[in-house]
Amino acid sequence: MENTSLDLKTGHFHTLYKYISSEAPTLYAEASGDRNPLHLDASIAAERGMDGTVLHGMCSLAFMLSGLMIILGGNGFIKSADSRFSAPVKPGEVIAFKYFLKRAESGEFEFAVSARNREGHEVLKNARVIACDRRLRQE
Amino acid sequence: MKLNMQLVGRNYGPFQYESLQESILFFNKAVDAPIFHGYSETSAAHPIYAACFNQRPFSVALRDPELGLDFSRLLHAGQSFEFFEEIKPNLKIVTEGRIESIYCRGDLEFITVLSESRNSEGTLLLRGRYTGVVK
Repeated sequence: MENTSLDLKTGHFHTLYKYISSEAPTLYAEASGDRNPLHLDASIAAERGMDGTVLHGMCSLAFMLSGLMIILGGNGFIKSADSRFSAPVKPGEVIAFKYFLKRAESGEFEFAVSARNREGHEVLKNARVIACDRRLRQE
Repeated sequence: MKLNMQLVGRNYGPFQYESLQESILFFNKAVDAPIFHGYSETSAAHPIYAACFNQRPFSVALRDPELGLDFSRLLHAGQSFEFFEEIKPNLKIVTEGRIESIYCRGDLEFITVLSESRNSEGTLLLRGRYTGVVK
């Protein structure tokens, strides 16, 4: 993947789609060590009122940031990320991540991000990311 | 209110962690971290690799028997991170956290845990704020 320069302007808008595979909760659990059975065991999830296992909220956040890293390119550095986990994400769903650049100044970029499933349910709410050009951090 | 408010301010940790190259590579693949020219796959971890160590005080606090939490009613409701340094392989990381608040909103109870991770020199790597909701 190319290292793009961070030539982004306020108002920049980008949409990326992410398919949530059936393996995603297991992979994330193994990678992070978060083995809450809600994410791995459909019978436990059903006891808690869920229709099957759900993805870790943190994994949804990670996918959202992976998309933003593509937009920023290799020179991007994520300074902060905030989000509410407002609805469960289920394996088999496709999530549309919409990135809107609210502010770009002095090498710093503030994005508002929405994340919705096909039914239009917002799965990340009030998501906000601040990023910068890593080259400026090293000066 | 069923959660024990007296635990606000209680500290958890320190917890030790080492950012092994294999675990960074595995995590980066699990969350589809992009790989850019000039960077090896393991030159830096995806930001949310932080969950591997910075989340520990949250997990331990929720299981504190004095908290009185019915774990089956808990959901991870929100998350914020501030990242100060990239996580590179072979860092020795120390994480400490504390229960920052416990409060009610309607029928729901919320708990927030603030967690900070530092390298062996004491440099702050990142700060996470974890919000759980008890339904």
